[in-house]
Amino acid sequence: MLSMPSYAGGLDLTELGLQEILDLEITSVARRPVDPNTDAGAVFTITQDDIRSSGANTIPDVLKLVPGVDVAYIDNNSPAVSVRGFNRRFSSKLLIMIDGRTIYYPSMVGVAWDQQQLPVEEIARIEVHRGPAGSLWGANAVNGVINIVTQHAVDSYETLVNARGGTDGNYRIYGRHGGVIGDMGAYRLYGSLRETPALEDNDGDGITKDALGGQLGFRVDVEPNDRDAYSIFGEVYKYKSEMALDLYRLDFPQKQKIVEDVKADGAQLSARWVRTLSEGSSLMFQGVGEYVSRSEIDKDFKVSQKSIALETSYYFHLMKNLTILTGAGLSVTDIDYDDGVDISAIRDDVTDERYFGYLTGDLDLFDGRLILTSGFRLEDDKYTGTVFEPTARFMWQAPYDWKVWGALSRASRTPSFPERNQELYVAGLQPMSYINPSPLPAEIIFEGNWDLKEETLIAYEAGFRKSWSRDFSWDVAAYINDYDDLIEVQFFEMVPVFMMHPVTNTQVPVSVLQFVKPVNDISSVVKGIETSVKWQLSPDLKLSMTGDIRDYERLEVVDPLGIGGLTVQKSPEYQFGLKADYQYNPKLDITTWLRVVGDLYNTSDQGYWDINVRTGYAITPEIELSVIGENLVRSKRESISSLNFLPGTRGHIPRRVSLQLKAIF
Amino acid sequence: MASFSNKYMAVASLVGLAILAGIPDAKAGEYKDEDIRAALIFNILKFTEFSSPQTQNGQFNLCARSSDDIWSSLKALDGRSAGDYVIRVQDDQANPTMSIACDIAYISSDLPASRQNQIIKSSLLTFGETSDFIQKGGTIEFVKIGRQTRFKINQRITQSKEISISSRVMKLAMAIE
Repeated sequence: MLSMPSYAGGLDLTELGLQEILDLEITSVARRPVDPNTDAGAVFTITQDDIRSSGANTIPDVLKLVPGVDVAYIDNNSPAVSVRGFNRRFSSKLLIMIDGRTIYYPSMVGVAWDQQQLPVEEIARIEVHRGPAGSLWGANAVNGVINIVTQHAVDSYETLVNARGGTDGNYRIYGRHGGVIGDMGAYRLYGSLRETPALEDNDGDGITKDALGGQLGFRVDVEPNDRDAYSIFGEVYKYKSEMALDLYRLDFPQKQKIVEDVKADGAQLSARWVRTLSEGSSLMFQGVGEYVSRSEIDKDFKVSQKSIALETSYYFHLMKNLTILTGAGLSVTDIDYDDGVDISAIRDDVTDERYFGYLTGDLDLFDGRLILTSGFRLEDDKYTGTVFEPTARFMWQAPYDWKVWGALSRASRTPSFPERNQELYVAGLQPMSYINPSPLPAEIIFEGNWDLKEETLIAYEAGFRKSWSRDFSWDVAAYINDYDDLIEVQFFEMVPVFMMHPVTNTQVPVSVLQFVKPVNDISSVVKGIETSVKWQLSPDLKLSMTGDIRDYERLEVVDPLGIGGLTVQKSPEYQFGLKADYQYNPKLDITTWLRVVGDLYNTSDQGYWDINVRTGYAITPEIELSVIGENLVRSKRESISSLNFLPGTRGHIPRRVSLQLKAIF
Repeated sequence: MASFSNKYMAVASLVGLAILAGIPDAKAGEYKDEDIRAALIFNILKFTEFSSPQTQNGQFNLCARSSDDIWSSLKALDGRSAGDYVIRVQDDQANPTMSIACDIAYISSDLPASRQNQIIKSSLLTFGETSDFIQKGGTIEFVKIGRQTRFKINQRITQSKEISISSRVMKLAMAIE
């Protein structure tokens, strides 16, 4: 990423929007000032105003605003999010940060979106960097980085309650209270509770219970002088739902829906100190302590993760036209497994240690018309060894203010503990089904592979952007992602299971035990183009258009048992979005949002199109009433169950009309 | 790849940068408060409608004192278009009798109270930086908390002076009173 020129050094602040000016002094999680307009990469920023107008209730729903980001629902409660393909339940090739703290949990092979309970009202902006960013962010920032930045405590100087309920039984309540600490800082306390309706079958009968999640949190910002900024963040959360699997126990003669509990909880406390050393130079320290646990599929199985992470970065001008960003850090993660009947760990307790350092330089040539960026990151993991992730980028300010950029990067995903360490028993895959073509029921034994190595990506990216005044901008990014050593599950042994027939008194085969394990066995090339257009037609009307299309080569899916899916490509071939925000009068605003999602590659899941409409009416400056219609085209559409790593029951995304009341006291 | 044996390098870097944090003579933040306030004023004006501007010919008069710290930042707005109007920055010190009508005025904290009241009454839209600016009848009050600059809006005044400030601005206000 490139830095914007020093503000004091000449950037015209009046060219910025109101929100951008207010954010000037807020430390970006990008660790240095970043201007999306001059960034040599595919960057898309979502503001709090975008979130509010979209009517989105959860972070995954908000991310539907971004081109190249695939958001799908496996069932009513389990979103799957990916950037540039490879979607699956736990996003594995995507790094998600909240205020500089990663929520990529190695114990879960990615990001468990369902248990994330951060209320959308807490968010100031979301910076989505599509494409590899491993040179700055490290392993797992393979296909992209999503930086979620919560609001500075100064911006919640109020008591606010936001309550919402929908026709499908979905409800959510959020409340916060903020105040100032003298003239040097501010604080905010918040809490939220969300209930999502149960999974229903085609007849509308409930299969699972409603999902319930809640979070309490706080943020304190103290800036006692012009050079020091201290921030402290904390949260605790709890989540509970159920998951319905298309499996059956072998002691039952008939297929039986297995409904298992999903329970998760967590807590984190983090602190950050930013010191401004001189104009365009700053130093950042951050420390995070976190606890996360999750249990699913098997009620006795639970994985708990405790971690401590320390990090520092230093941003400075080495020369007038050369800025350097360097940093280092370490993390220690302790993972405990409580074995269950169906899932167990080869090693019950694992302590991982990770150390990293990075260095990136931005060289400004020809008065800012050409900016060259080069950098690398070295990361050493106790179990997976050393990873080297370099990048080289350029941004050329072409004639007529066209900004053209290109990048060549290497990124990697290190194998997670479950892939290397876990044993999993999956009972009763239906015979003669698409996931088990054999005439006998299949029992699957998944064995972790301690010899797995990293998945790698070499990415070639290019793009351009152009602004015609502040009212119209166009952004295009194209990429070729060349993956190697992708991890996929393959079976290596099959053993028939015999039982004594009670009548004939002979041994008869009753099932097949299939042993599978993950291996580095797939390479693939993904090519794609993404675009976004923002057009402020008038002071009252704004149009936003996004689109992406991608193509896959050499992706051989070796997944005859259907329980793989660790890397299987199941993302849409294209997506399109058109959002219109209209301020009818100072009190009434209307947003209409059309989305078109193409067929999912490599599955029978078909694409769809849909429309959301939100109308907000400010009864007084302190009270706003909104009506939000979602999925208005049809009464319900099927979710994408194939994104789960076990065969599950399809949910339905219903048409929903919600009423929301926001009050400020 | 060979193991990254020198993991202590990372720890040493942490310690080294911690020492660096103690470097004396650190300068203030990257952005001048005055530039930020001037940019906010410019943006707010872009989203503000006046039913009866005092100045004709599609111009606004923005008055401030040339001795104020913010003067040079405001002067940079002279001739810029905000909405349907062109901003003309006028020196209040050269205008003691208010012979030049001020549509908009920036009132600094060290301006005498009597002069403050005079400008507040005669101007359509006023910006100020004192903690009780809104209570004195000012329209928009800048607030500095830590390093953050925010603003409050006096809705009673905007209504009485028939000024329409877009909800886009209102949403970002720290408080509406």
